[in-house]
Amino acid sequence: MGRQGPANIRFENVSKRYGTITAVDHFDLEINSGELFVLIGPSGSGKTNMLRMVNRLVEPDEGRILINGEDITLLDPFDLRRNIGYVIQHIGLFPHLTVSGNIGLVPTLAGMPGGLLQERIRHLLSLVKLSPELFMDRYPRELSGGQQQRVGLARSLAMDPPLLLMDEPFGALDPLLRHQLQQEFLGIRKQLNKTILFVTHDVEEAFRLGDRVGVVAEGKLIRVGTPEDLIMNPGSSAVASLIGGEHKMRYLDHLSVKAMMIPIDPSRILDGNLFIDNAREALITLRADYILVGREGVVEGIAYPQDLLNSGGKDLRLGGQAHKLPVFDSSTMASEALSAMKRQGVSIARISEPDGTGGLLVMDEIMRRLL
Amino acid sequence: MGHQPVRLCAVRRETLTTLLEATVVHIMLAYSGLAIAVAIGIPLAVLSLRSRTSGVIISTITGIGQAIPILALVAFMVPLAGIGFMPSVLVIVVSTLLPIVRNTYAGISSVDPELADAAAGIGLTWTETVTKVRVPLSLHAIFSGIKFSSIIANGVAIVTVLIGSGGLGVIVLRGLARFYVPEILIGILPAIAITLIADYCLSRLETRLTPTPLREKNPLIPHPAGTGTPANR
Amino acid sequence: MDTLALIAETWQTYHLTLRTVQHLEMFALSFLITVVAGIALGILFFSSINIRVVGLSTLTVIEMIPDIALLILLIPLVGIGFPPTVSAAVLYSLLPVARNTTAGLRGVSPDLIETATAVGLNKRDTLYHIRIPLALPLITAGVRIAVIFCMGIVTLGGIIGAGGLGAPLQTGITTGNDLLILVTGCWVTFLAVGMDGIAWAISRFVSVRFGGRP
Repeated sequence: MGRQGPANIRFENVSKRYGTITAVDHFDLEINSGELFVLIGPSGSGKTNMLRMVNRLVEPDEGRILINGEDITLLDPFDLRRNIGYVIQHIGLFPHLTVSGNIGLVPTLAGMPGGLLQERIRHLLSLVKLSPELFMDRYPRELSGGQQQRVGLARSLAMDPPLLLMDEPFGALDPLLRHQLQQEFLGIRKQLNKTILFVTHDVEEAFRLGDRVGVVAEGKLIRVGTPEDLIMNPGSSAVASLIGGEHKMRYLDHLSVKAMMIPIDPSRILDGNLFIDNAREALITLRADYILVGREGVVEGIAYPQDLLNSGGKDLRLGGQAHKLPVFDSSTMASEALSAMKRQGVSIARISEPDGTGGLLVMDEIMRRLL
Repeated sequence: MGHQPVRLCAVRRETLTTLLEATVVHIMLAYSGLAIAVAIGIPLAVLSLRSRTSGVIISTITGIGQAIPILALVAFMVPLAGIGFMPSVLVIVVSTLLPIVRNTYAGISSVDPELADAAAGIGLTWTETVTKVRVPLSLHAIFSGIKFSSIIANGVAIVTVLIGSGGLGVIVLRGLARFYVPEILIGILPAIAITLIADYCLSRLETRLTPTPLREKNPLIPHPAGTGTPANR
Repeated sequence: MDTLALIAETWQTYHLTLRTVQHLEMFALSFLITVVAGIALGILFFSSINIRVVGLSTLTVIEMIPDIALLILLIPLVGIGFPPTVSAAVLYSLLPVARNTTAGLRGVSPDLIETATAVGLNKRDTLYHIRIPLALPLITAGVRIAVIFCMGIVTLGGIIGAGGLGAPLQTGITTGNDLLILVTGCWVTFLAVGMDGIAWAISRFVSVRFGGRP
């Protein structure tokens, strides 16, 4: 499979039947290199089967699966599996091997020299936040559930595979621990530089971890998209009910300001150098409740009627009376932006995009959009 | 070589009358010993259930006891109990006692604790839980022990010829002394046959005694001796 | 002091050192063959269900006759003395080892086997690195039984001319020599229980190391 970097996976029209039951039904999906793709669905929806077809624990009845363009049925299955990391819910550490024995088993069989292997094991243990000195010679039965799962993750990374398969890896842990491990996992994910296919039935987890999420029901892939896409546009009642759809408020953490912003009407932008009187006239002519102040299409501030009426001198310019708007990048999380706005006591902010366009984030509008 | 047929016939006739007698003695020897062992062993196993310490003691003693070679046990009778039929029965009791106690104990102690609890809950006394719940549920383990002991009993009954028990061992010994193979076989084959028949009878008895819902579908599958007992069959 | 001198004399007169050596030689040989062949058979039975059914049934049949009977049956086939003793010890002890090995190999959690496959181990690696280590507790339990069987049959061999400590035991019985009986009897008991004790200790160690019983 080569060491070229994170793998990309393609499922082409894959189907799997067990007797009369169709577990996987004409499944098509392309997972991009380096992506963390989450398959989510209720128990029995076929998502685990889909995952296990990638390392050939299950063979499809129809269709094919390609990794980096190669049909996996043409590859030696053992070689394939050695190059794919596999982390499962019940962890599966070998009870008769120490932690370093478990992690080092496959590399040893693959011929990795002892010294190098020791280094690697230490590195991996540190990565999963387990002190090598304390844990290397322990046996699985001496570890807690969380510690075991960290070792399980380290084991999957031993051969530095370009692809990781994770089947509800945090499912057997209590919610607090689960959250913590998810956070840690996100933390090391960038370092890993791998493609990850992750299966879960926990919507929160899917949205927290996934770059993209695929919703599976009854063996079919019914929706694919970013967490944001799925929250804002479930696309079907099945997806909506899975996500717990109507109350998008729950997902504030997963929404960026981009999903919440309203576009700016350029005709509303007046130059800050404008005299107050003219601005006041413009307000009346436009029949607007507010004026956006800025130049060359870029909004810097906002002015309300009371700001313009209260002033005295004819020499005052618009720019001086306008409130400066805080600016957020379009990728900022909505929850973060809202907290900042609340602290500053403003209810409107400007959202800027790299290409210069952007919009406004208006608190009232957010409420409207979410409910 | 020409003498052979005549000798054969002579031996045959002589051996045949002795054979019947010997077989009877053999059966009496082996199975009275076994019966006594069952009569002592099962209650002993039950008693050792009473407390943890007695359980450990019984377990250790039976474990060590089963390691002692049969010939040594037989030999020990001479200074301790003399020779003849009764000392031989004694050896058989001692050597068959241990597997019975061990297997019975293993069976009754591994009955689902919830069941024992339920039994106590509906008002059974300790003895009743044992006789009405534990023992019936451990029938297979108990019979495993008895069947294994039956084989031992037959074996020991041959060896006890050395301490004057009589029985089929006499014929075997004579055959060995003369190195006359047919005689050896005439002595040993009946013993083997008795062992097999007894095993079959014990299996039938077990099936009869086991309540219908508990009967195993295929009693011929060998079970691993996972408890370290030589007798878990 | 008197007793010790008597014991020493008995020991010398009946050549108990030689007998002990003979006894242990026969034991060591039969035990070694049993363990190697038993485990090999156990692995063989594990890999093929047909061979398993035939093999285990055959061995079970052997176990259904008393060990002395097997010993004597082998005489017409291989003679008297050493050959039938060692053969009987091996044949009789094969079943516990082979059966426990097979059961141990089959008893490894299928989840663990699947994990092993998923991680990239082929059948052979899975057998050697996962199944066999995890089957060791059951295997050693079977080997412990083999120790007891081998010791018993080797002792019996003394009756059929194989030498070993069974011979002086028989002599003691036939000549009514209580001292000889007690000295030899205690000594062979000590050896047998000692071997069993070692086997037990190894069994306990293996159970903890490979079976996860804390």
